[in-house]
Amino acid sequence: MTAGTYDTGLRARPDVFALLPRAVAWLAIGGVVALCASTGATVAGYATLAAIYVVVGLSLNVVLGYTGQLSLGHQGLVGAGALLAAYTSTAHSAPFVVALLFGALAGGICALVVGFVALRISGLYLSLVTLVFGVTLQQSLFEVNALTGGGAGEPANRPHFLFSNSRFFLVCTAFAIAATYLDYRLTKSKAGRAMFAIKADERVAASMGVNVVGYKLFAFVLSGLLAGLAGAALAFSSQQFNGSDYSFNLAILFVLMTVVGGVGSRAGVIVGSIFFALLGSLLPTLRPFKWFAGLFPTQTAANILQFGPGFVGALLLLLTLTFNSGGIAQQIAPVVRWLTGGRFKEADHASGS
Amino acid sequence: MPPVLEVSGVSVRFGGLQALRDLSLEVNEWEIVGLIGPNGAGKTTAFNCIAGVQRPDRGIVRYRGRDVTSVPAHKRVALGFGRTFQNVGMVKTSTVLDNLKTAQHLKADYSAPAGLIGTTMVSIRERELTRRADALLELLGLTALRDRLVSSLPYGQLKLLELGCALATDPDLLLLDEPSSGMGPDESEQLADRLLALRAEFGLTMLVIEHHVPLVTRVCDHVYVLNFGELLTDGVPAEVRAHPGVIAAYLGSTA
Amino acid sequence: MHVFASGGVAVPVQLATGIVVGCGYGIFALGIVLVYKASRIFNFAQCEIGAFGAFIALCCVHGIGFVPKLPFPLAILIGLVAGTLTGLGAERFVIRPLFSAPRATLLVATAGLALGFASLEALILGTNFKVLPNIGGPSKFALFGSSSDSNSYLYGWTQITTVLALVGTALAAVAFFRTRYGAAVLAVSQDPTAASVVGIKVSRISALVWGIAGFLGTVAAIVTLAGKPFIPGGESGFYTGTGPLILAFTAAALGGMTSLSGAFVGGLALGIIEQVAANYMPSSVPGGTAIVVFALLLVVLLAKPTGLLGKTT
Repeated sequence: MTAGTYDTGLRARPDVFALLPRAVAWLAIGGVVALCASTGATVAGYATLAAIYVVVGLSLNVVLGYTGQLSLGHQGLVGAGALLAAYTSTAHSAPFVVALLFGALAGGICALVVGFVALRISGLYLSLVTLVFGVTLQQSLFEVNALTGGGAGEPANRPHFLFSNSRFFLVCTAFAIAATYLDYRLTKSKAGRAMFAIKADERVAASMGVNVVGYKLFAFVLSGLLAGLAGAALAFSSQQFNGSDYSFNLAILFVLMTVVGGVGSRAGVIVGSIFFALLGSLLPTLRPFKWFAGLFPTQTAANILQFGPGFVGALLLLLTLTFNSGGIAQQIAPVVRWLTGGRFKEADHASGS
Repeated sequence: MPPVLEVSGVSVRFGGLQALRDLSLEVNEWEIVGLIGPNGAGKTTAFNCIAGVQRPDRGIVRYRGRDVTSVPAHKRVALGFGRTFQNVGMVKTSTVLDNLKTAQHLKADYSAPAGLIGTTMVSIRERELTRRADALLELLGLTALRDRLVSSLPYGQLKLLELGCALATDPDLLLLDEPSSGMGPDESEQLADRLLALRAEFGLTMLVIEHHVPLVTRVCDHVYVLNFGELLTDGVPAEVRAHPGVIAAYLGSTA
Repeated sequence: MHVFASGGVAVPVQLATGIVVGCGYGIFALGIVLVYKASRIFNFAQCEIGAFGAFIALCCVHGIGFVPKLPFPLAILIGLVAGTLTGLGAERFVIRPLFSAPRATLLVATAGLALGFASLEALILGTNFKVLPNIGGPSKFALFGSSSDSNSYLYGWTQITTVLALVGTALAAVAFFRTRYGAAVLAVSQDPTAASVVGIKVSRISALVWGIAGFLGTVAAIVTLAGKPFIPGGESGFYTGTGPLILAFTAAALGGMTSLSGAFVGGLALGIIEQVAANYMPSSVPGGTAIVVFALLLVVLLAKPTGLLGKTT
């Protein structure tokens, strides 16, 4: 019962032996980023997707993990960002940064629309509406010829100094770090606490003085801005916008990575997003997976390499939900705690964050 | 001077059920007023109307003479309403400290975007919120629970912490929904002392839904009795206890 | 995604086509409402479970994988059994372990199930899309328009048998849950405490409901897919835009998520609305059907959450 006291005693005395291994670990993470940037265009391309998905995952986590609103239309917000970024940069030759801002804004505005709906419709019905909203955006707005350049897709050319995949990867890493910082600040400030309260019980939140309507909209807009930014980055990463890329399939992938990563957990969502960003491209290159596919006839083997990641993703989701509801976050909690200066093993009563 | 809280002619209907019919009550400065009645009598509905989470079909709620009937719940908190819930209104997935900081939402005094950027001003204000939360924990003698998750705590302690959260909103009028539920006789005795002490120290006015008769008798200056959504009677606790209708209502509900 | 004409389709043909596809949506919607009534779950796998049953039938018809080539009626029968078993399996291994979880978690789980089934089909089938044969056989006659006009949807026994089969299934389902036993099943399954008092096992009812939903889904999927190439996660799933899932859910919402007959009628209405929207929306506005469905869903949920066709209790 009095365990709280000795924790603080230990944390008050930082010494070199405690800091050194952590510094090494952080340097190693930085090293991986540097390696991704320097190994070549292909690796940098994969890593870019991972960095962008981190932003998307954190964006979805704001509404799903913190505010408790299940959005199945996040691909619509991401797509809107991608569309406007591609459109402004190509049709109006807007500078890169301006196109990014417009992308973020597009995501924010679409999210605001969903937010207004969320004020009146909640729970499962809201999920249904977001699903239809995302699909409607994809089928209507993303197919308007004037915006998307017809069937060929709207180009989104990167500026000269970002032409190399490596440099663009570093820019996206900066976005991911910025999004992580925003997320950290959110959970440590009044807006984040307000959202947790709304997720727990809207009446309780109101009785604590939280403007439920305002903070719901705030959550959606913040999430939409991040999603729009990620979308803009996605368009510049593939240097083009294609409406058909933003199907419901993608929305499910976003929910997958957030849930398998661990809803509400920053570190879990980051790891989950990276994992699912790489799953599609890396899984077919893994030796055990290739060996398994090799057991089947040639045609089936090719199918397994192509469609296996989707199946593995669905399986991981179901296993996460039924056996490990905390997601990856549950497993990596001690590591994260240690990296951020806490103790590897936690006293059994306290919280993880 | 107008009463702190004045409810007049409030009615609420849920489909075919008349949850409240023409309820009127008054809570004056420095009073602790009880609201009692059998289960389903409409006590919590009345609370919801007063706190602003339920709009009454008819009737007016006044706070210090001002009509607040259409003021939303969170704005009433800014006016000075503090509330607890029947089934513990706290964020179960957060720590005790975070709950007490959440409840100080209106005291945070920085904008949400500033909080995202993390200015120096924000960290100063945050430290201030933590200090106030710690002071409240000390006042309630619960400092040991500061970093515990709310979901890991027993019910009795939660009710006390919830009172702490309500106090953290810096209220002037406290609405307590069954504060002694989950507490043993000794604990509810202590609670009675605590409520009286809170009134003496902070000059709080309270409206309390309560079933525990000794507690009501000890702390309440005035008691209103609800039955089937209607006011059955009101008066000082001793009068109400002797009222034949009250006894019948309670016996009738258990039969 | 359907054989939309770019205008100029005769109104009777539009209506007839709408009725055929609408019956399919209606049956999907029945399954959705059934599961929702029994356990307050939004089953996003309803169409995909059905498609999996249809997929098994497809495997039997074409002799894909380890399955031998079987005669068509037998293949359909095996498909129906497989679809029912799929529903039961989903209930046993995914839904039941999560029964006390938040409903949003279950929604994510059913979406994951759908993704899993679609991926599994793709694993086996690849991009080599096979066609599920027409149910009524190749005989054609022109009821509306000319039989050489590919836009006149209703020109064969296929569509007539389809509609008859679907309406029959819908009537049977509605009738079953109108009987005292069916009604008791649904009523009691919503209140586990009452169920245990009466001595009914909640898990058994949950399994029953999912089995029936799997069966209904398969019926709808087989008739929706008949005569078309089977694309995993496509026509019967929900990956391709306003696929049956979205339309079926909108139909269910029209019935307030609780009215079986409302859901079926809603499905019919949506089938017709889809055709009309596809024909009358100007071609400069892409995604006309999606916009109409989205607007309809919003109006229903905002204005009358109990559903336009639902009963007011």
